[in-house]
Amino acid sequence: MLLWAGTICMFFPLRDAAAQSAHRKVSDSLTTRSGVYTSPQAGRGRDVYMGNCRNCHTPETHTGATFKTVWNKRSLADLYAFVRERMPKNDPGTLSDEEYADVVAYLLRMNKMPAGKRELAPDSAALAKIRIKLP
Amino acid sequence: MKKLFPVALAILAVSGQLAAQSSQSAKPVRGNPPGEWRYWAADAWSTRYSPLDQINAANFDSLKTAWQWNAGEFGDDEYYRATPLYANGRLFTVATTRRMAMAIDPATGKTLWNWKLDEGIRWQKAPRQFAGRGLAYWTDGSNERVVVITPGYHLASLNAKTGKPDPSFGTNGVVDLMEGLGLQLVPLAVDDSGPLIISDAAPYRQAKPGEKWDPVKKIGADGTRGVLGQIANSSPAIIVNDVIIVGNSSIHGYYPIRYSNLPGYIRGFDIKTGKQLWKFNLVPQPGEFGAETWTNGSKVGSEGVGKNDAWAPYTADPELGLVYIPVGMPLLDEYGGHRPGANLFGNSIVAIDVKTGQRKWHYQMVHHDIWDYDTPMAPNLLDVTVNGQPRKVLAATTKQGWVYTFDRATGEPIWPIVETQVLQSEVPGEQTWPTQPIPSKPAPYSQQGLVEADLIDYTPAIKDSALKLAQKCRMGPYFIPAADATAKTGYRCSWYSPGASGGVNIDGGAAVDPETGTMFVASITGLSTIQVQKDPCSEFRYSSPRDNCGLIGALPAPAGYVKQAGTQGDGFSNRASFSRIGGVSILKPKEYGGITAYNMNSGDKTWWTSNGGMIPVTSNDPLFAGVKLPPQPGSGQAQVISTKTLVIYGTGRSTTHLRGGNARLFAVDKATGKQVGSVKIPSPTTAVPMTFMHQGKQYIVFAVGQGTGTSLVALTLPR
Repeated sequence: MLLWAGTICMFFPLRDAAAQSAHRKVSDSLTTRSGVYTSPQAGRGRDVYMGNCRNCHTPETHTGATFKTVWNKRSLADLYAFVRERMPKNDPGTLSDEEYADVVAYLLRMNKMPAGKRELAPDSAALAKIRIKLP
Repeated sequence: MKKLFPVALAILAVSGQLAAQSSQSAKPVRGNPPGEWRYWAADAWSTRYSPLDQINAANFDSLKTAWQWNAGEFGDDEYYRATPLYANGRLFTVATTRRMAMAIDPATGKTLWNWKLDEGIRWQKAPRQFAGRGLAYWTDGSNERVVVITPGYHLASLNAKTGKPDPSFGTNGVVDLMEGLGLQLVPLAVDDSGPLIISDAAPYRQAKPGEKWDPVKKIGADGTRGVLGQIANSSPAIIVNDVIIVGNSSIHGYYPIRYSNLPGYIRGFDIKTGKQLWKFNLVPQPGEFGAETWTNGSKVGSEGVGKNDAWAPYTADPELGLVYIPVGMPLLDEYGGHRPGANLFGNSIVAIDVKTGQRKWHYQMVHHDIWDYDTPMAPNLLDVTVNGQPRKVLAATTKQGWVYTFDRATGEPIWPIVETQVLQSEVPGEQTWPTQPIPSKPAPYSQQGLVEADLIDYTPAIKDSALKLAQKCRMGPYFIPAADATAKTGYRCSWYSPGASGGVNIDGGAAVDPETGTMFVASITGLSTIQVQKDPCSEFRYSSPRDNCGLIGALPAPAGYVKQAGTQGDGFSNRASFSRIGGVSILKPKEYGGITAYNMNSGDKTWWTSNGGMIPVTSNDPLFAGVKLPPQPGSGQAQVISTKTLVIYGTGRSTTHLRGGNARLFAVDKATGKQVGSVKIPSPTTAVPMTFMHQGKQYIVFAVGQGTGTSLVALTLPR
C-alpha cells in the first residue's frame, strides 16, 4: 500500500512533513518496548478509536503480521503522522493532536507493547526518537 | 424588566398550554403531539421541528445541565449516534454495541427499564455493531409499544411502560428479520473469535453437520441460525398507520471483495402481531419494474448484484398512506463495471403504499452511482405555496450537495431537474451513465466538483500554483468519475467534491419549519481526491486502493504476490492530502457547508451560517507571504433542529475548533441565521438533538461521546 502512496507522493510534490519523513533514521535505544505510553492514555485512545476508527477498521486489521509488515522498525513519528494526516476517512486531521497520540497509544497496546509511566506526547520530534519494535 | 415581562408572559402561556397538552396527549400533528418527539426526526414528516418556545433567544445562554445519563455504564459503543424519543412522559433510546433499548425518566435521567437480546454469533459478525440511531414508538391510546431493530437483525416490540416484550408479537415479542426474505436460514458457525472485518472478510459461515461450539477458542457453531451473507440495520423503523416499515443496511460499500452481496429490502409488519404483510425489493428481481436497469441481470446471488440498502431513517405521510424510502447505492462504492445500467432503485427516493407495499412513485437522483452517493437522510415533508399553488412537497437532501424537491403524492419535480451530460469514466470496464439529474432549484449547499474559477487566486503566483496542483487530477463541474491509480496514461486521480461524506450525511441533514416553509440544511463541503485500482485478492476488477490478501474470505494471493507496505483498510488514506498548499486549501472559501436556509416556497436561499463560526487561516509558506487569508468555515456536520423561533444545533463530532472543553450548543434566529445564543456542553454532539416539554419544562437532549464515554445530556432552564 505504501508503494501506492509512494507513487502518489512522487506524483504530487508534497510539502507535508509527514510524507517526507517516511523511513527516517531512528536510534535503537528507545523502542515501543520501553513503556512509552500509559495505560490510561491507551484507554482514552480506545474510546477515540471506537468513535472514529472502528466503523471502518476492526482491531484485527491493526495487529499481527499486517501491522508488523508495515510498521516494524519505523519511527513512531511516522505512525503518528500517518494517522494524523490521513485519518479518519474523508475527515482527515479532524481530531486533536492529543487524540491522535492517544490512538497511537491504543495501537501500541493492541500490539502488546507494554505501558509505562509517561504518556506518549503529540510531539513529532520526540516521537521520531522512538522505534517501533514488534515481536 | 419591562422588556422581559411580555416575554415571560408568553413563556408561561406557551409552556402552560403545551404542558397541559402533553399530559393529555394532545391531538397529534404529523403523527406527533405538540411538545413531544415521537419519531426519530420529531414527527412522521421528519421535520425535526417543535413548536416549543420556552427556550428562546432571550434565555438560551442560561441553559443548565439538568442531568447526564451514562450510556457507557451499560457497555461500549462506537460514537453515540442515537436521538431519543419522548412520548407520553418517558424518554426512550438505544445504547451500546448490543443496541439495548432503554426508558429514562425525563425529569431525573434515571433509567426506568432496559432490554437487550442475546444474538450469539449473529451479533458477533453483524456489520453494523453500534447503538443505532434510535427506535420507534406506537400507541393506540391505551397500549404503548417501543420497537427496536437489533444489530443481529431481529425486530422486537416492547411494552413502553415496562420494557417487557409483547407476547402477542412474533415469538415472545421478537420477529427474526432474516425470515421472510425468501432466503434460506441455516445453522451458523465462525472460524475466528473476532467481529466481522469491515469487508466480506471473516464472516460467519454455514455450520457443518454436528459442529459444536468451542467455548475456549470461541469458534464453531453456537446454535444460532441465519442467512448467509451480510445483512444489518443502522436506523430505526418507522410506524405508519399500524404498519412497521423495516429496511436493512449492509456491509460498507467500499470494502467488499465478493462479486455479490445481499440486496436491500423494505418490508411491512403488523404492529400487533409482527406478521409480515409485504416485501418490496430494492434490487428489482427479474420481471419486476426496474429489473431492466440491470443490464447483466439483477437476480439475487448473481454477479454484480447487491446492496441498494436503505440504511437511513425513513419519512411518511400517514394521510397519503405513503412511506418515503431514501435508498443507498449498489454494490461497490467507486466502481460499477460489474453492474452496467442505471441500477434501480439505487440512489432513489421510493414512495411505497404502506398498506399494499406497492411502489407509488420513485425518482433516481444518481444513475449508476460510483461516488458513494447513497441517499443518507430521511427526506423532509412540507406544505408550501409554489407559484401561487399549494403544494405538498418532499425535499430530499443528499450527499451530492443538492436538494431534490418533489410533489410527494405524485413524484413530479417541483422545479425542473435537468438530465445533464457529465464526464465519462476512463477506467477499463466502467460504463458511466451519460447524464445525471441536476436540480435547477434550490442552489447547491456544498462545493460541486472543481473548476478553475473555484481556485484561490489571491496573487498570480498563488493562482498559478493552485492551478498546477488542481490539474494533477481530473477536474470538472460535478460527478467526476474516479481515475485508475495505475493508469499508464491519462489521469490517475480525480477531484472528489462533495466526497463520500457529503454534502449531507447521516450525522447532519435538514430540519424544516412547517409554519414558514423554510428548510435548514446542515452539511459539509470540501475537496478530496479519488482513485481506484486492483485489489489482488478481491473479485472486483477495481476498488478503492486496498489489499485484502490473507484475510478469511479473500481470494488466494496471485502467484508472485508480495504484500506491499500499508495497512488493510487504508484505501482512502491519501484522499485529502493533496488539495492544500502550505496548509491552505486550494479551494476558495465559500458559503457552503454549515447551515443553509432555503425558502421552499420559492426555492431561494435565504441565509447561510458556518458551523460554529469561522476559523482564521494562516500559513508559513512563502507563497502566502504578505497575503491576508480569508477565514474558512467551521468543519463537520452540524446537527440541527428547529423550534418556534430558533434553529438549535450541535457542531457534530468532526468539528475541529470546538472540541474537548470548547464544545458548545448554538442557537440562531431561524428567520435570519444570526447567532442568538450558545452554551457550553460536555463534548461535541454526536447525533441530532431533540426537544420536548415535560412537567412544564422544556428540555433539549442530545448524545455525546464514544467508546465507554457515551451519554445523553439534558439541558433545561434554571428554576
